[in-house]
Amino acid sequence: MKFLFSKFVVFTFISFTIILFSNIQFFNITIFSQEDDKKGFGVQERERARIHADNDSKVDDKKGFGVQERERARIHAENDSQIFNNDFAGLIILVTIIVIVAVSSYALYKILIIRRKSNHSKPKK
Amino acid sequence: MIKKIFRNYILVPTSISLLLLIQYAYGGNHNRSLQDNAELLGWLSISCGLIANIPFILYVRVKRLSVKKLGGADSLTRNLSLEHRPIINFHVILNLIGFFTGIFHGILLIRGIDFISISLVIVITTLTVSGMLMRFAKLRILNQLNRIIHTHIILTILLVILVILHLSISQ
Repeated sequence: MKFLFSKFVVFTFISFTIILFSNIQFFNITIFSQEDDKKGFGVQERERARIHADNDSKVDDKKGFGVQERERARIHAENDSQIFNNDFAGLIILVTIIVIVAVSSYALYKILIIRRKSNHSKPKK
Repeated sequence: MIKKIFRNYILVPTSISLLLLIQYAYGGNHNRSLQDNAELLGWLSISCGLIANIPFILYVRVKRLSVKKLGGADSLTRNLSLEHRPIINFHVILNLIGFFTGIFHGILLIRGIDFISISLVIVITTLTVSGMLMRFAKLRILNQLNRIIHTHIILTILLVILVILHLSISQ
């Protein structure tokens, strides 16, 4: 297993590095070059994107990007902001954290009980 | 040399398949090919999870049933026990590949992040870390603790629900 695991780590590391480096160009285009202040993903940014797309599709098509793409972006942003506004989606992260904390504390409690039982069963000197 | 390569029958095909994904990174339309690549990584992660976990769960159930019904001395139970190590290696390696491809998929699509994706990341990371600690930690207490966390049914149910929600939202 040790042998297999080290090989696995090397292979995946190389694969991911190559994929990552070949994608840097796209990172430049899609993520880093958009003059974004990156403060707060969330609802605010999506709302801003929606307003921008809305205004753009009304004003200009800039030959190439075009109305279609802007319209698609607007629909995406609108759907996303709806997802964010949905209480259920907000609650799910809370539920996840509660479940993980609960399971971890349950595990700790069980371990504590096992240890206490094993201490009791030890013969006293 | 060739023998060594063939010995790593799991590593080589999976690593090559990951390397083959690079071709999706090249294309005329940048945004489109990036989107395709990221989505493909997501599907790859889900496929790895399904292949690694469903047979493993079935194996564990069958083994438990055979111990209960046939007893430890039966040849079927003993054969199943002998298969334990290779099956668990397969489970660990494929799940790790699924985890890393999932993380990479998340990095590529970080701008579209939502609460469900964050929850999914938390659950998957918890399960992976507990699994790795369970497999490699030498302290017995740590091993037991991670076994309880890793094999808890609630976390599995939560993972399945979150994957379904993630898929339904991203469609």
